[in-house]
Amino acid sequence: MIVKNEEKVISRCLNSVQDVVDEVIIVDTGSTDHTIEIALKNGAKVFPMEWENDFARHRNESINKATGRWILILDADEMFLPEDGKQLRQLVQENLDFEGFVLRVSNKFGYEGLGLKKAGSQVSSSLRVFKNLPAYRYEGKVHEQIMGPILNINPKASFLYTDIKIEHDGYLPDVVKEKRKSQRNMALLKKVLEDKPDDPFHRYNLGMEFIRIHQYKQAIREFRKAKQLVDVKTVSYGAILIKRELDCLQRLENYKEAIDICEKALEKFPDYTDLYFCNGLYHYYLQHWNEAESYFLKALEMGDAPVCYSTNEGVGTYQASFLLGKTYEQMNQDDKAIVNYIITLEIKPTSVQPFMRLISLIIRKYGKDELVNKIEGMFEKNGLTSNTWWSTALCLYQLGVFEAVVNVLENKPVPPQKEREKNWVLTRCHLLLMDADESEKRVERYEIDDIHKLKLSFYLSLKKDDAAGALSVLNKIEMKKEQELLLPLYKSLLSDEQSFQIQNQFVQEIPQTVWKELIFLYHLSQKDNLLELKKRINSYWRTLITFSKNPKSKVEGLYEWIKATNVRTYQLLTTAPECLEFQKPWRQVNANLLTLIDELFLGENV
Amino acid sequence: MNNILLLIVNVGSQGPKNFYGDFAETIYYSLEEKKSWKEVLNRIEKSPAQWVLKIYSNETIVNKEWTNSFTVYEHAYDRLFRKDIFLAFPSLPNTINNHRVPSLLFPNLQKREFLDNEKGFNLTRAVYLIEQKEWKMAEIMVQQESEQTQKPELHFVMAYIYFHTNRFQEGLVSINNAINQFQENTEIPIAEMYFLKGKMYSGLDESENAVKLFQESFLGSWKVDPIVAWAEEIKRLGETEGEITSKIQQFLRDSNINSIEYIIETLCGIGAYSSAMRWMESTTMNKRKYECLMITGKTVEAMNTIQKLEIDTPEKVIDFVLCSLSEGIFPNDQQKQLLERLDQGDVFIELLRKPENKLGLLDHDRIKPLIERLLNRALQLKMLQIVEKIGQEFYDSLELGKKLFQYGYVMSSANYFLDALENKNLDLEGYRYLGEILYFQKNYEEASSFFEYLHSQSNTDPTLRTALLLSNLHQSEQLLSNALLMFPSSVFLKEEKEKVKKNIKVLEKTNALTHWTAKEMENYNV
Repeated sequence: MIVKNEEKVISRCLNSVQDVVDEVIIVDTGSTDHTIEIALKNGAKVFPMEWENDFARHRNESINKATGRWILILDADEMFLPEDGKQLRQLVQENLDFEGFVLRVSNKFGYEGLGLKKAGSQVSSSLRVFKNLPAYRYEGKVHEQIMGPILNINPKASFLYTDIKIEHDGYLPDVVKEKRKSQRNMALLKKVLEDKPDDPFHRYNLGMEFIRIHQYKQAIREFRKAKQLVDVKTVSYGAILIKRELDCLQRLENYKEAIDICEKALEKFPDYTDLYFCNGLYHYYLQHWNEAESYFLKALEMGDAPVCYSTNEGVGTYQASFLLGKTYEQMNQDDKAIVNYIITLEIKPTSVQPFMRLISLIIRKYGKDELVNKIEGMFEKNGLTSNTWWSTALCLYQLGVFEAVVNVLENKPVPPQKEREKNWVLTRCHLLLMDADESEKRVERYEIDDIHKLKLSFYLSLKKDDAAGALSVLNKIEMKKEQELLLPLYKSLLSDEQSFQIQNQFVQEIPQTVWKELIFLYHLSQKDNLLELKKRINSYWRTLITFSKNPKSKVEGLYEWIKATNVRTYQLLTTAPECLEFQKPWRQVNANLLTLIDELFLGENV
Repeated sequence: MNNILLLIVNVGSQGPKNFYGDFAETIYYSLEEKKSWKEVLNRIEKSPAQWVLKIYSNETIVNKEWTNSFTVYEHAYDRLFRKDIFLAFPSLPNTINNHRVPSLLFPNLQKREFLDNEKGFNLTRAVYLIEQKEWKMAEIMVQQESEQTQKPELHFVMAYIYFHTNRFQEGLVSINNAINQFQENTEIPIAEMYFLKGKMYSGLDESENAVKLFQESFLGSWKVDPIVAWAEEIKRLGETEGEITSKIQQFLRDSNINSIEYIIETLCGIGAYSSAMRWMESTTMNKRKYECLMITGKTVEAMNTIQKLEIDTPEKVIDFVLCSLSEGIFPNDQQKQLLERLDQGDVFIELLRKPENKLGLLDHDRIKPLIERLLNRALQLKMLQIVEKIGQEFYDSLELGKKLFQYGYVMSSANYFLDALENKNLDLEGYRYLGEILYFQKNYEEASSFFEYLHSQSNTDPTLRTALLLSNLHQSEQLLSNALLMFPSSVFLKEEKEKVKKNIKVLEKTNALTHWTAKEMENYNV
């Protein structure tokens, strides 16, 4: 390994290879943090070296220090999952005739700027295990390569392509930023290109660096230069070169051009699933539903791309089925959408998006009374867990179908650790379903802790439009530290002043609790027709959004507000009496109403 | 009563039981009795009566003691028509009242439910149900009959039901069936079918098709309505008065029609009075001319034009009085004599004689029906000064606000509603209008509060529910736009915004909120 200031990740990496390798050689190129200390503590041999702007040279130095028969190359921000590590060792022992083993590197990627979230992973093949022979050495100052040099020395060398995965998060945006990798790589590549301006691989790599700093037009320019310099079918990175060009066009929302490139690329790489998936996606963005449907179906039929390709995870399985479901929703083919969300959940059971969409669709199609039966029927073969019911209840709560939440929570099992939370959710639902007196009686049976008892009194006072009562409870709540985030909100509801006191910490970030509370109060004011209260809630909400300096918080605030408004819209639609004049337009609106999606910034990924 | 012809539309199997000898004439009409609409119109034309009162055979007039001065009832009651207006109805369904705000039913009219033995199909009964907005019952009745017989009239009525229940796709199928089965003896003129089909396309936002159908309808009927509908359609799409005029001119030229009256009527129909005036210069359309002069504020010129005409109709009297009031001119002896000979002429003279600040001294009960007529006409002619002058004497803020709103003077009405709100005098209808004004002003959050309040009072009105839905959707759209400003590359947000916009469009098509014609839209900011 070559390292520099990797204290955050090196321990994780070394732990993951503990039972995989016999010795760990680390070349440190000038760490000033605790990297060396951690490495030594984990049994690694550390060799300090001055950084010479040449990755191949440093890699080869580390190989020179190794004593074993096989070399495994890793970076500090990579790791093995336990099963993969064990499997690798066994595989090498059983296949000694191969010169090397190609592993699958799973690169996590996400968006930058509005908070880091893992959006998905792109999997590429990389020769990481090879025989420790003196002639087998890396070439290339940046994006160093080993397969080419081995084949130059030994043209008959064969490599085993495996499914063993290395997890890599080095390209997650904030990590990239932290280490300023892009600037460093870019400087190196530009220098190399001064000597070899017609090297397509370096052009490709330069394009990749432009992507990392979000300069997509420049990236496309480099990819196109690379394409002119080489026949993409003849080089190992040919398919991914096109894929990256497509990614850039997608980022620039130039879908029509992307479709043209996709079509042409399919002639050269007809078995590359990603191209079908991407084509489907672009057609989806352009609202060409029939074309999108046929490309997603084709991607599903093909399954994930063969290992020789760098591919995005799930494009031939759960990603395609999820998007196919969304396409069917757009085509008003709800049954097909439901089937595809179920398929997605079967492949990836922990996935939130298809679950939320599924619940929304079931309610829209069969009504809230049928929900429990339908879910039982749909998940029968996989068995329904208490977690599924808990998630269902939370989805329903967000959708504003409070009767259905009560139905699920009172009749279905929830995980034992959620019991108390369940009682509080039930209490809130009753407050949103009944008038003050009725709900007060109804929630008596739920066991809730002291602070929630106080909050319940506060809510009941609001419901009764009893400002004095609410104020007296508020004084008691004020003594409890855990509610300090919400206190200014509560005070603003009871104050006649137009200006609000908002905590300084909200400038940087507004916690989800605040938005959730605003949504609850919004619905509470709605239920009891407390128009003045609603006005104050809206004013506080608006002030928070204006006041915050954090774009992520602003967007979250807006989004939660949209959800609250849409829940009201949904309630109006689902409680509407039969009326021939408006039946059809109401139904159309209901079919198009915002679906439950929590991952605001990553709507497209499962 | 001898000035009224009574038309009883049969909706039962046994025919009407009551006979009203006091009327000038009584006609029973039933499609099933093979009496054609044309025959009905012929009889009406020959009748000396100047008014037509339409009732259905399940309705009974219980008290006949009402004034002979029908002028005051026109526009006030659904079922009382001036003869010339009635004669222009090409079929029975055209007589259905589609007023924006339900106007008064004829006084002293009692209705009874259909008898059990009257459950069989009857096309006129379907028309009656439509007029009562009993869409579902009407639909079931027409559908059941359609299963047994294939008549173009049935398809037309079905299409009519679909159109008014916002089901344009289904409506297209029905109207196409009606057109395909049309025969010479079909009760509904083909031009009416084209017109409805055009409106159906307009509902589907297929303007090009709509325009073609409006043209077809015009060529089949020579009526100006389809041309006005065409002009409204393209005005909605943003075309200017000049572009609209040149398109219509071209069409008329291609159809070998040389009359520029159609252009003038169309321009008036969309509220483009100044343009209409320019076209009128070379014509003898005096009535239209003085109307346009009044609308464009040239009352003195209008007065001069009226004086050259014979003041022989109730409208001209009203218009003459309005001009006089506006200019503060008392009629000369000749005009005074003329007025005295007319219905309620003495009341007009009394009104004109009083100085404006003494209007309140007049006998309100006696003068109120006339004031109502004057006010309505002043609203039609955009004479807001007169509206305020006489309105403030005879109406409170709320009533005046409602009047203004109903004629499209949205911004002018707002102050009256706010005044009523301040004086705690705003009723539910006023709240509704104020909510709509806030909505039109894009203050969706406030509009939503007003609608929510109304919804909490009564949640059965589907138009109110839809208005509330619309204001919520608009709030969502605004919030999504704000979010997109911060996160412009989000496909998810864009997708959601697109969906919300689509939803708004779907609901706005329903006319749950007050729908203004192009002509009324011109009054919006007056």
